[in-house]
Amino acid sequence: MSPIGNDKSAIASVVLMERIVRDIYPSKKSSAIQPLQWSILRYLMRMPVDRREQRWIANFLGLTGAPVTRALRTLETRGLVSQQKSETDNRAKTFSLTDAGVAVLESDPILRVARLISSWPLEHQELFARSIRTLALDCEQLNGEPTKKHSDN
Amino acid sequence: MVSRPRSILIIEDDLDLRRLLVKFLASEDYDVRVADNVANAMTELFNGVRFDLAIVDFWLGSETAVSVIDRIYGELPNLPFIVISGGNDVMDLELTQAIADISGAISFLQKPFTKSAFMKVVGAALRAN
Repeated sequence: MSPIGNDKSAIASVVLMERIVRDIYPSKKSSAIQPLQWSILRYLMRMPVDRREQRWIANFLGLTGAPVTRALRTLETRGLVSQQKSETDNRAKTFSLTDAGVAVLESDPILRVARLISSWPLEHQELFARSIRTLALDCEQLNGEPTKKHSDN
Repeated sequence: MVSRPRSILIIEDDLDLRRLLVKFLASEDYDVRVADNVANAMTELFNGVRFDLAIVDFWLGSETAVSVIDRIYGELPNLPFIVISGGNDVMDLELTQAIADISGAISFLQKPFTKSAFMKVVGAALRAN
């Protein structure tokens, strides 16, 4: 009998996912860059300067301001991020990656796994992408029906 | 030789934003059509008009636009699409952007956005095609 299609197999799949995600960030030391800090570094790399204020970062990550402020402060202390006055709002500050911040992103832990996926045959990549997307959408539905869109949408 | 205006489909359920985006694009001579839900989007996409770009709001009411972007990706492989979203109580934007990326979106734009940010993304998408 195939192991696929029963609860045991489904639970094992989730165990594997959980384990893979945990192992992506091998260092648990407080001096290591934490997952939220990596998310912020990736955000700053990708977004235009007018979106690099703390409020936009928090909105993007679905967080309140406080944890984002703390993470930005830590990244700034480590020389990975710098802050400037916003060009559009004197009261706001925008954040940018420093050269060290750009360099550290080259060792972003998720890239190791992304490269593994990219090395698969295309049909496996497509199947995986479709499956993980379905799971992500289903998991979000478990959190409840959308009741309110954010920010003028 | 006169080239035809670039044709853009906006799939957005918010009337005010839809009107605003039409105004932005029409001011730069794009030919713009609109759809406000999944069913109308499918009709527009497959009614014979050759679009150069689709702009897709990720949340159309309480449903996602995944079925729309899957049909674009699968059946209109030469049509680039931009996903726009402000997120909602269920799904944050980091996840929404990942879903857009994995689904083949050429770009993702976080709402609200300025005209210049919007036009910049539209221009880049059209040039890339």
